[in-house]
Amino acid sequence: MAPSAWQGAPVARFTAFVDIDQPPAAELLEQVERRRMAVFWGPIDARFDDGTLVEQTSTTRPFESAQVFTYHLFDVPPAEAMTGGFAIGRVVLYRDDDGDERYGPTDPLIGATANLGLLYVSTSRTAAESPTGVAVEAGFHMVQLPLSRLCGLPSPPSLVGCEAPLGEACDRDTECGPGECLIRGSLQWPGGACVVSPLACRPVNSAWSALEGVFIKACRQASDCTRRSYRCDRGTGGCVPDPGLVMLLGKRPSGAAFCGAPSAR
Amino acid sequence: MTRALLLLLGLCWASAAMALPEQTWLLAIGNNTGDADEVPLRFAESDALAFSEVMRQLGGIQADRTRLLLDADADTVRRALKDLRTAIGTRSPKSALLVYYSGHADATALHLGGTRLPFAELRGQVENGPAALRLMIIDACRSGSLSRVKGGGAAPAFEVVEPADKPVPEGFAVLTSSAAGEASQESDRLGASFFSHHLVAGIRGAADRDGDRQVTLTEAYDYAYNQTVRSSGRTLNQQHPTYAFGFKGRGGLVLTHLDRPRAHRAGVLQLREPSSYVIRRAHASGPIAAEVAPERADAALHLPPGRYFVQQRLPRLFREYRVAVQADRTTALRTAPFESIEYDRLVRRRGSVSRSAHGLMVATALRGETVAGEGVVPQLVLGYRLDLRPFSLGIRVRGSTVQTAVDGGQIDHRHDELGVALTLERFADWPALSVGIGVLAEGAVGRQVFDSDRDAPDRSLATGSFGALLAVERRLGAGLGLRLEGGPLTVVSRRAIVVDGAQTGAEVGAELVWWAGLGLTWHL
Repeated sequence: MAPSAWQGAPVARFTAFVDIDQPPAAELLEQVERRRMAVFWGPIDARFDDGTLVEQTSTTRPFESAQVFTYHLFDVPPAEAMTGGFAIGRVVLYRDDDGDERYGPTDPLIGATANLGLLYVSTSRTAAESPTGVAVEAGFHMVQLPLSRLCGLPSPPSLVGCEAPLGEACDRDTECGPGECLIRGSLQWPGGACVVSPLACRPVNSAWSALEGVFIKACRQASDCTRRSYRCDRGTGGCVPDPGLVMLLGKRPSGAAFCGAPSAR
Repeated sequence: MTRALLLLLGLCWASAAMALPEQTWLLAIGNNTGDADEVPLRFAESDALAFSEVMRQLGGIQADRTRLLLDADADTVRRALKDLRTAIGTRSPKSALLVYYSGHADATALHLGGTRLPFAELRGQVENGPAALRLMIIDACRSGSLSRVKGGGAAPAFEVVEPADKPVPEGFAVLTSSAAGEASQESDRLGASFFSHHLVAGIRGAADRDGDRQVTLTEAYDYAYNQTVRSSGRTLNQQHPTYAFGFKGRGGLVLTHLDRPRAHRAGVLQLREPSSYVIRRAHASGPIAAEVAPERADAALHLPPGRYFVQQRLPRLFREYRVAVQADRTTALRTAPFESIEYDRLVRRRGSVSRSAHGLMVATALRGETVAGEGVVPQLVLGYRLDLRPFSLGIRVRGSTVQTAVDGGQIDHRHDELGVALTLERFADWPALSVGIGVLAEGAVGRQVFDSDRDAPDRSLATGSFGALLAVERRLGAGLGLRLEGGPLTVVSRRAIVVDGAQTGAEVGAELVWWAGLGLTWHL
């Protein structure tokens, strides 16, 4: 028998890590029993402070202090958050000051997933049909933010092509041909990864990472990213580190929810 | 041959009965101790005391004409007989001698505390004594040899008309508790020997077959015979009292007059319709004062004043009375309040011939939470029970439906369950309530139906439960009763392990829950 706590078979499952900004904001440390988190969905131009984000109430849960936890999704995004058959979301942490177990205008935001969001597409899309420009299967996907195409970010300059060992492990730039060895940027790149600056050239089989501002190894499917701790990101279409969802706490989220500048860590 | 050894010379069938003569002497002998190798009896001396008391109270024998010998030896008995012969003097038509003995014996002699008194000597002393009427009553093993009756039937209504010039009784008679070769037994339950108990009860009024307020020797023997055969028939050694009547006179020989002025102030308990009655002193567990089975309605039984518990045993129910018998007054059971013992309580009642009873039950119950989040679940229970003397067996069907409405991302669902259980209970009965303690074992099937657009298929499973059962029942009348039951229950089932809303595995676990129910019983 299933207890009442059972919510059905999950439609998506993510691992989340907690990272606390230093110094933590006062709201994070006060009334900790009121902390709640949920997935918020919205249009690509949604902002944290304009009320356009829609809380998926079936994902609302108390926030515990565990460093790592598994986040299950049991429903597709609410209909009002869907646009053209897809939706963009982020896991947001708030303090339920009004005690209604829902986000409201008086509940302060105290954290959000850093640089990563959730993409849901109701049907499989080719690269041409995909909102990200990368072929994507129906369902939920974790994607790097900001999403270049949806956010209307400028494309990298068209330079001459070049060959580079994109995505290969490295310790120093000299191992990456015309590129450089990226160990830590906006994300931590485990074991280092060869990337190419747009100022150098445009490597073949590359994808653009607006988050890091470099060309990375391109991928079409998960098996294209063979290195451990790397995944195929459907937002960029490239192999990126897979730390799971990182909850960056302590810094009050503000500005554009999906198209803002990368969060500093 | 049942009537072949009859020695009755006849009693006149005229309506006037013969009373014991004015000068009637009684020698009552009771010995618990026989030979050295014999197990001491428990009630022989009290039997002798009881017989002497009833003959004084209702037989009119005066205290100064009563000799009671307890635990005496043969020489003491011989001296007593000699003294009585002297006191009686020359034969007088107004004299009688009753000799009663209860104790050990064999086919030839009484066993008196390591000494022996031969039957032949005793019989000779009494039969050839100076009293006009001589009666011996012997309650001892193999005493039938004294009457020279090897197996007797009940005394027939054989009567011979005698000449009118012999209006007073004379002659010699013997009553024995068993036939030659048979043992005479004591009953711990009766607190007396079978024969003496029924003889005394008969003399007190249970044997008054024709309702003329007199108990004749024939009536007393008939009653004692029938009851002794019935009582001893439940043991391994059935005994058959015998008699040898050699009287001459007119009418039956009256042993007791139930309307005699009560110098000893006995009270009268008037029974109801013919059936078996067990009468205990003071309360339901008190010593048996009398166990009687009168043949006529409204039989009157003379008892010492006091409180009595009377159990009337009818085929399909017992009636239990608590009455007070007062001196010189009649207490009638027909007007006394009583408690009816029927159905299952009758089955469990000691002495009942009812071996089983059965009935139905319908109840509502609440069971503690077995599936997290569902809370206490109401139940409907239908049951059948078979009541046997040592225990009651039951089978019941239980059904439940619980609708769980949740929020916060959880799923509304309905949980249906159907179970079949066996119960085994043992009951104890009190006047107002019956309390049962037992065990219950159940197998059930359940189904969860989820109301959601999510991927949440229906679930089915089987569970097993076992636990203790405590029940309290109260009769409402007409076979109906109210039942309150409950107890702890261990429910074993396969359950989902859920973490953060998602099932991560399954396990077989046991959950201890409590349940309670209230229902109606209907005994069929």
